[in-house]
Amino acid sequence: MRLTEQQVNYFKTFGFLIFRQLFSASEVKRYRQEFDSGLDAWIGGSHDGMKRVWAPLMDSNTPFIASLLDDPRFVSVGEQLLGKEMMGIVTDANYYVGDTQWHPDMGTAKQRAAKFTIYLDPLDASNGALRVIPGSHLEPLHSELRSQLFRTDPQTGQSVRKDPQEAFGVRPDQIPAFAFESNPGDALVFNNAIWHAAFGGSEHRRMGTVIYYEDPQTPEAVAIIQKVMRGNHENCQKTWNSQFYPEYWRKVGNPLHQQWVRRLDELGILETPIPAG
Amino acid sequence: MRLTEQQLNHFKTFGFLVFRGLFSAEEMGRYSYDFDAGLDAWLPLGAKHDGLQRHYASLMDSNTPFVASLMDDLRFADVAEQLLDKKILGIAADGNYYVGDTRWHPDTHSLDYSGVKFTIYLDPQDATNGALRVVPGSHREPFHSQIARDTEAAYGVRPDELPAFVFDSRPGDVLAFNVATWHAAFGGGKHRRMATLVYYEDPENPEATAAVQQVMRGNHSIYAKLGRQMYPEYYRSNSDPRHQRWVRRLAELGLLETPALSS
Repeated sequence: MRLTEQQVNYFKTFGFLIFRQLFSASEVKRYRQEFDSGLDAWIGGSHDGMKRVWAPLMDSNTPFIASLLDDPRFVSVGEQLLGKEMMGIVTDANYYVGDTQWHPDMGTAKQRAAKFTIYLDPLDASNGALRVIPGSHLEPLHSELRSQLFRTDPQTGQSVRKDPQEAFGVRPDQIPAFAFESNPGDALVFNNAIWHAAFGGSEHRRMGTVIYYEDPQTPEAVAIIQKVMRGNHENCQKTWNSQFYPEYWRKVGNPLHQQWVRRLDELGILETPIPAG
Repeated sequence: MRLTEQQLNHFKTFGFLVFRGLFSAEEMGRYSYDFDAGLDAWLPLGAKHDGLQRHYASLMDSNTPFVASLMDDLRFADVAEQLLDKKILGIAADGNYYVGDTRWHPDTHSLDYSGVKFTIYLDPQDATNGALRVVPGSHREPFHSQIARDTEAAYGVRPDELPAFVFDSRPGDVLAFNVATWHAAFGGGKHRRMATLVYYEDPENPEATAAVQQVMRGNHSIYAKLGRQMYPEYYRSNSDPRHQRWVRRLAELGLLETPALSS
């Protein structure tokens, strides 16, 4: 899928881009079936609506969703938006519960990534639509939001979230932002450095993602990607006691896909480490 | 009026700040009266705004005493000083009958000086009928220069599709924005009443001085074409000490007198 110069400009300037009805009705139906069956299989039952559940969907029991990383609607668009060699990282699913507070997906604006978000139910600002702060993938806004919305705990040294009321005197849902009102079939792709959130969501807000990272070319970029990926692996191991990248995903015959597998391996981020003991 | 640290953070980070219910209902009545009287006075004698094109008027003269006084009101002058964190110059109190859309633009071509514009809408506004929209954070580089006026050519979207904060407002609400913040309005009627109070930093270096002089020359040229002085006697003779400093500084900078339009 070839993007227009205008679409690339929009993404560069505002840090996100919308595709209306990227999926057909039959694809939405299939997406929904695999999303629910795939996520419920990880849970071993139904979602209880008490807390967020996340899992990768890259295995043989969700072939349609697993194939999206290789789908030209995503991979080709990812390449054009990032403008560089990139790696397919994950297709995953979330049952969200309630609000998602303001955050970027990557702690730095130096290393780029593209995240496609796919919502399975109609959403607007009142019931959990994704909100993004346009331009917040760019400095100085990106870092200023971090310094305003997070503080370092002097005792633990950990970064701790601040209430936007404390930072800006407004409720979290009053931070000026764009709300992605969407219908099933729509997709929004954003630069992972953009600040985003969602408010007023139900106890079972269904959101799928397709994620690509820029292939790191400098020692600093490699270190960033390795750190982020260690977090992904640890999450998968702790939550599901499972490999992040299943055999099914590693064996996809597409040459570009095989290039990703080799590169992830080279970078030491293909295998999910098994904790000792 | 003392701003909180949070309000200052909001303005610094996003380039604007909202004040809900800053004017009482009684004040809005006076505002509306002055506004209409002042704007109508700049129309041909006996004429009413015909809704065909934007109509603008300065509201700094004796026939609009309430609006003219707002330049010195602590809710604006003190707040502007805090927002800009500098000495300021009171530049203008004016009014507009807008017609239809206002396309995306910042109010300045230069980031070498700072300024703040308070916008006051006299009628309820939302996204469908001409509410002010601002692009948060667009007052600073590099975001500021990446935004384009022609959204369809640059981004492939209609102007009203540009991602922005929409200032849903009721009479009495006020939004202050950095003059470098990109803003627009869409879906307005033929008689959208919007007033502003504008302050610039008092320039203290050659770059800021040149930038303020350039933008002020543009302001004066509008008045010159109308055959009017930008700063009437009523504005100049206000005895408030801060106001008198503005008058002196504008004169020092060569920005007090509107040059006569050469024929």
